[in-house]
Amino acid sequence: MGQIKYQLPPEEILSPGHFACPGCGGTLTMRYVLKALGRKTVVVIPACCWSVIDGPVPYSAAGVPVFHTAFEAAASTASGIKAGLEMQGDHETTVVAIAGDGGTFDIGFQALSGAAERNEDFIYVCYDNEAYMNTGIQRSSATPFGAWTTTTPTDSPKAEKKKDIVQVLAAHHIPYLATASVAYPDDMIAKIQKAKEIRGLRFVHVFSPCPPGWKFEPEDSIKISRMAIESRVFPLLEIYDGNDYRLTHEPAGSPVRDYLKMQGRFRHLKEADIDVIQKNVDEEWEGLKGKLAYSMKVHKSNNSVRSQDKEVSLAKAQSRKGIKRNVR
Amino acid sequence: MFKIRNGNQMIAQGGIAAGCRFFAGYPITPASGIYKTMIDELPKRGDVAISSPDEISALAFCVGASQRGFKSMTATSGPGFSLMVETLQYAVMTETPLVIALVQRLGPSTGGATQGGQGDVLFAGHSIAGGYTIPVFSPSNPVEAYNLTIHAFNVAEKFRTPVILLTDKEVGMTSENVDYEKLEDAEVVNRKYFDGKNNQEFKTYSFRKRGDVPEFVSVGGDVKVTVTGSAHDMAGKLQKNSPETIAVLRHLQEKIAFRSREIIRLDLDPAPGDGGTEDAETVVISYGVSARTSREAVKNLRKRGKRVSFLNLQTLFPIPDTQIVEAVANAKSIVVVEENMRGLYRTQIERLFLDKIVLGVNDVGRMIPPQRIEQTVLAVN
Repeated sequence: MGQIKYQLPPEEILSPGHFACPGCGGTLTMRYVLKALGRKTVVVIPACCWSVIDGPVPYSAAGVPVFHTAFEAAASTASGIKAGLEMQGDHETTVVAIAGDGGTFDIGFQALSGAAERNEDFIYVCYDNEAYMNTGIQRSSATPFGAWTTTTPTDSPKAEKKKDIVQVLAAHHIPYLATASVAYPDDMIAKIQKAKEIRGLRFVHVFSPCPPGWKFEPEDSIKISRMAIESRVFPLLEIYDGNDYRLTHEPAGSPVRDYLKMQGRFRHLKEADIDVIQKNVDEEWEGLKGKLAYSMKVHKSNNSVRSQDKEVSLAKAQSRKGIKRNVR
Repeated sequence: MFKIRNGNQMIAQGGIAAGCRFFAGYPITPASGIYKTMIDELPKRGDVAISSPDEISALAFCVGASQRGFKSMTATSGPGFSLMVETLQYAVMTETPLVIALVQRLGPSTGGATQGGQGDVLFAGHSIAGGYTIPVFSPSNPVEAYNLTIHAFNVAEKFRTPVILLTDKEVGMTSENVDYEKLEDAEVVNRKYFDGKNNQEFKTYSFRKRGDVPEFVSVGGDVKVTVTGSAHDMAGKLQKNSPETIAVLRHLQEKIAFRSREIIRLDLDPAPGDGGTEDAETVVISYGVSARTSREAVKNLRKRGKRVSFLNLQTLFPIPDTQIVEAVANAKSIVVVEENMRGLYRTQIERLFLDKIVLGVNDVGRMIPPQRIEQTVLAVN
């Protein structure tokens, strides 16, 4: 297989020497987000793996100011920081909340939903490793059906489906929503850069593999991420204004089995379980295809692979009402 | 029989022994071990251990399950307990029996997730608006964790009150040899149910005399039960300041305060000699992890011929005033050992004595070694 060469912003803002585990998807997420946003950025993190990864003050690895807030408060704190910057006349600095799935899907959801409904002007990135990894692998509402965690043991693995946070956020009609993967850094960086140019709440959901939590070797992190995307477990999408869907990468449709088999957290699954998961993925995919077709018809958007039409999105975002603040 | 266990595991086991059938958990270091043990154990018995999306929900789950008649429990640490306080107050107002294991870590806020501390002691004891007392018990090792958890459930049931089991990271997470012979085969107490005899009318919060506890009927049955966090009369009807409402508010405190002897459990190790505590020149008082180093210090001091008693405060609230005064008896000095900045619980002891030296041994962010306690005692003894 040939090497893939990406054209990424060359500056490394995130330093080495951080506290992450080898193969951590959350750390790659931060690296790419900072590459895309540049140094004029304030990062807000709640309790999550990143509250450890950054290292103890003054040995911060992030390379930009990091505001570590309470578990349930990332979106509210980011809203407050953005309001403060606006009041000081700083309209340039990008505020980005970066939170795990617990701080996004569960305890932080009320704050996020409020910020989305008010269309607060910041970027929210969720690095989703599908459980509470920092406290020792307890299930979250992002944990997929059938997965092992310490609180969904192998004799009774998680019986519920993963919460579809993308649909939930889409239902808030935010101007820009994207899914991204650390295995597709060019796609991810393009999405974050696009998000930077849009005003209002922008949500980026990043598939973020976790070697100790998912039980696989750290060097397989990117491979597993790619298999999640290619098997349609995690499609790479953009959604404008909550209803205009676009696919940014056409997945190959490889069997979900291959993706599941690489991870210890799915090792206990029987063939029948895997069939159920495959059926769920197929159904979700059909549903998504319907939305994409509808978007194509209604919005006449270019729905081809890797459509990243900055002008269209900017014009859309600027036409939105209610994003200007009264600053006195 | 000996087994290797930690305090968290023994709290979970104690809870099950006490009849806990519902646990709601949310992960937080250093309390997650209780959640994990309950997830492993309760479903096997046909009981429920549930993963909640945050700590607010975790305690509210417990209120709901308890109001349906099930003994309920959750476990957390300082940041999570902060979120539970609203529902904790609701549990006081609605006289809902439940147990919260609060495994302390270094605060405030996120603090030190993997560092111990004993800084939540007054927060736990004073977390109810209006100054209502909720029982707070503090084990210092896995055996005490087991025994006090049963006691905590019994008190919760008997008095229809939330109860806090206050431990710390070291007691919760340190695995050690546990002597199962020392686990108490304690009697399990269940809340008193209203039996409807003599055609008496059921009122959710009725009591006959001061200090009585209302009889329980679970919500959703044949008898109408009114559960409310608003100020209410005996029937649960919302009223601001009718005499009966004020009497109900007083009753919430009086049922604990008037009967504190039924709640308080202490572990006193009197000075060797004929008179025991009468002979002690110094009394060392401590709780939780600091009680362990204190015990070691007291042992060393006695080897040097010092007359020292040791009081392990297994009960922190209601404050065992009388018992502390009795334990101190003729001693000239008291040394209170706790891993927090200002000697938080010492402030509750100092006010009892005008004629004795009360010293504190304190630290933040690290455990207190026995040598420091010995030095302090030797300075006054």
